Amino acid sequence: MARVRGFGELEATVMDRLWNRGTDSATTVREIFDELGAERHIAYTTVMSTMDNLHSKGWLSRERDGKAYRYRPTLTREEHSARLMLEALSGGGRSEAVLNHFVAQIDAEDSASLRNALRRPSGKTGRR
Amino acid sequence: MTIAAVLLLYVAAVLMIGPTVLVRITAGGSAPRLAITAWLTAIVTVIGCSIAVVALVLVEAAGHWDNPDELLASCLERLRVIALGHAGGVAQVVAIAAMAFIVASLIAVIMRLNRALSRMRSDTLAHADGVRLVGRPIGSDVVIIDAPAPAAYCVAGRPPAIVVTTAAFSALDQSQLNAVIAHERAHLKGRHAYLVAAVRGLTTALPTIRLFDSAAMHVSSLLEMCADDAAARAYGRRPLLDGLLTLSGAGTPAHGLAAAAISVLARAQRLSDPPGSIARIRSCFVLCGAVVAMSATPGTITVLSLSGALICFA
Repeated sequence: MARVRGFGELEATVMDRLWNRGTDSATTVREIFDELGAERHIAYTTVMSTMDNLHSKGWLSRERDGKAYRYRPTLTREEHSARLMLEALSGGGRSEAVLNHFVAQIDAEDSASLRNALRRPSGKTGRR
Repeated sequence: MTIAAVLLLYVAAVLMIGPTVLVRITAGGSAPRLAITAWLTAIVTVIGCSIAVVALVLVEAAGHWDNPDELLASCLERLRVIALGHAGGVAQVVAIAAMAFIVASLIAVIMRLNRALSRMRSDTLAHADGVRLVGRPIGSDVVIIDAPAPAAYCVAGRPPAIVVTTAAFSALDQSQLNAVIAHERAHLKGRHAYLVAAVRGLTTALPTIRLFDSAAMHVSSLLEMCADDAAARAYGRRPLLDGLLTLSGAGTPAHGLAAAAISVLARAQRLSDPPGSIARIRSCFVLCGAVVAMSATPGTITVLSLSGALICFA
């Protein structure tokens, strides 16, 4: 489990670097490895397989440049956030993800009547 | 054959009156865990009895109830006889068509269930992955995501994540946020997503059965109450209730609106005015009775008919 967690963290770090460079600049594994290697102990192959993984998940696109690949994010961070929130909040898209919402999404009218129904509570909090 | 008939009667009874009765006795959420157990008992016994009925009918059709050792051989023999038309008659053709239909629909349902479950699984894992990549982590399992709509939810993944949008993050104060996160953590710890997925999968596979449909709706709102209880134990009812009211402010309309609003209202009322101990004990008593009745009935039916007591009535 710890290994998986570490791997996910690395994926997030790599995406972070790539997003900060902007979607129009393509980046090689070597460049990311040099950046990360300056801050932590990490193997080149680990960075490579992480980026390959992100490519197969559809988060990065790549094009061959000589002997190496150049990677770039397929969508910006904001676009991904919007897509995920659409999935999560409006039951939008065709996602079947199982999410436990703290509060089910309800419309304004229902929410007003909910507030009205609860306007008078706090007097009885003494019980229990 | 008597066993099959009586079991079928039980299945029909639960399918017909089950949803209404269960909704009534689980309302109010005085004992949410027990209420969930009651719903699940209804589902499991209905599925178990249905499968038993099909098996019994098939065995009966094979005509070797007395010595099950020769069951397989006799099945094949029977099928051969029927296929060759030796036994003749429209009845045989109808019988084999009916059997084929039953077995085929069973396989179809299992395949649909499997497809629904694997779809939910992959979408859930992908969503968990996505929020981890996009969000800003605070603590070990919470991520903040930039979004104008206030929302908080959890997604079971590897690893799981609790998502709080920036709008929710700024709307909640610290104690409310703690309570909300404790609520979501209770979902993850109790593996509630598996239960939701299983019941939702059944609804997808068999959309016409009302028992599954209402179970899907009520089990998920009862699970919310379980998580509420866990969060209230840790941080008190007041911050949780305030968090509930804050986040139920504005939202985008989604399907199942009215039900969602009713469920939130029930939770809020439960937090602001929790059921007294007498109500709790009464509801525990009723629910225990329902669970015991439902789980004991199929066994009793089997024992009675095996001992011959039921033959008198049949």
